[in-house]
This record gives sequence, C-alpha cells and structure tokens, in this order.
Amino acid sequence: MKALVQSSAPPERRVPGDLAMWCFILAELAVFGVFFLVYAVFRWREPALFAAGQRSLDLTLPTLNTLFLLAGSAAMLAAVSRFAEGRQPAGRRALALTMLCGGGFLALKLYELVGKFARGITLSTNDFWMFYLSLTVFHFLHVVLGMVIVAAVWRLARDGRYTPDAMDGVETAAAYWHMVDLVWLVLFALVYVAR
Amino acid sequence: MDLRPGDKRKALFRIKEALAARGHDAVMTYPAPGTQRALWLLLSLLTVLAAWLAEDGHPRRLALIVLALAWFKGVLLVEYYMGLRHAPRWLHALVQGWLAVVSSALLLSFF
Repeated sequence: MKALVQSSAPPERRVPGDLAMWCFILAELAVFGVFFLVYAVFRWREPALFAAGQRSLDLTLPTLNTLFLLAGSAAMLAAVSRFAEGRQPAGRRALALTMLCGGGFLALKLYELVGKFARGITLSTNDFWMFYLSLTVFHFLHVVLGMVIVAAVWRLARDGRYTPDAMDGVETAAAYWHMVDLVWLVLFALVYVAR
Repeated sequence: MDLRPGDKRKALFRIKEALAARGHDAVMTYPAPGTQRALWLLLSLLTVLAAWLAEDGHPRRLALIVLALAWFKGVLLVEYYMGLRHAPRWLHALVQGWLAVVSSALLLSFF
C-alpha cells in the first residue's frame, strides 16, 4: 500500500533550504554570469592574446581542483542524505569530507596563484590575466565562504539538531556549496580549456 | 494504568517504526546511494575527458566540446546535487535558465 502511495504521488515540490539563501545564490549567479559574458566579449575581440595566456596555463592542477569540488559536492549530497535518514554521525563525517575536499581545492589554487604572482603576473599584465586573476580569486573567496558555512553546520550538528524533520540548515549549506561548484564547472571550461 | 514490560517494548517499537518511516519518506527526494556514486563517477570521468581532449585537437572544436560538456555537467549538478528537480518550477527554471543562457552565449562566442 505504502509503495503504491509513493509511486503514484511524486514528492511535493519544495525549496531545498532557506529561501533567503536561494535569493543570495541567484544574485551570485547573476554576477558570475555577467563576468563570464564580459570575458567572452573580450576574448572574442582578442582571441590570440587570450589563447597565448591560456597556453601557458597548466591543466593538471585545475583538473584536480574540479575533481576536488565534485567530490566535495558528492560528499555534501551524502551528508544531506545521511541527516535525512537520521544518521547524525555519518552525516557529520560526510560534512568533514566536504571540508577536506574544499581544503584540497584551496591549497592547490593558492599554490597556482602564488606561482603566477612569482612570474610577475598582475591584474595589469594584460586583459587575459586581468580576467584570469579576478575570476579565479573571486571564485576562491566563494569557496572560502562555502567552507565557513559547511564548518558552521558541522559544528552545529554536534547536538543532533539536524533530523529528518529539521533539514533546513544542512540543505541551505548544501545549496551554497553546489552553487560554488556549478560556477567552477563553467569557469574551468571557459578560462582554462576553451581557446 | 501500569504498562507491562512487553507492552512498553511494543509501544517503543511502534514509535521507532513511525520515525523510521518518516525518515524513509524524506530520503525519497534524494538520489539513492548507488545513483549518487554513479553520478559522482560520471561527472569526474567527464572532467578527466575534457582535460584529456585539451591535450591536443582543433582549438575551436575543443572549445565547443568542453563548454557543452560543462553545460551537461551543470545540468546534472542542478538536477541531482542541488535537487532542484523537486523544487518549485520558478526556481528550477531560473537556475537551469541561467546555465542555458550563459552556456549558449559562451558557445556562440566561439563560432
């Protein structure tokens, strides 16, 4: 009987997490969207300059970083699922894994950026490096904020407040984390690979 | 009225069962563990594929393939990781719409 009810009635549509966070996420997406489009216009006007800059980028680190963010998102979804099953310790372990992946991303990104600064590359080197530095640093700051949010949820989860009936906090953190991952997928393809 | 130990155990069992059932219902909106693993593997493989394609190949064709791959990965992320396939239609449309507008504009800039 239960199986019948479940198969005939799809789950009710609802906002995953806090609506205020989703408004913030939409604003963030709009900002990144404009940034990407302006990049595209500048690249379209100076394809050779952008291609030369991109050729000097090593793809190993950003590829690893994409894998880190995807693993972090997978762990985040696992965390939300565990809390929804009432499995608090497993949920917290998955959140810790998300932070570990985020930490890996930040460490590699920092290494990459320091390498660029050591080569004397700055915002005023040329248009490509201006976009490269501002986009990657802006995204880096978003990963940092994502880490802070996940860490806060991980800490709050100690007292077992996230139950199948009270998932708002975890889902809100997850929404933000996935947004940061989504933006990176486009950024990685556009800035590092597409030339 | 005093409950006998047996009744007490039965009552506790019923409460546990009810809680488990509620937990089970909530889980229904998230992908099953197997689906989650498959999704993570697929997204990671597509990422490695993009990096591998970038090793050589025609630049413009590469740009189009890689941007299309990113769009596809983004669609999966929005549907399953963000879970917007179960969200109100306006929210689902806004996020997928953002991805579609940005991705198609970027693709066009490489033609």
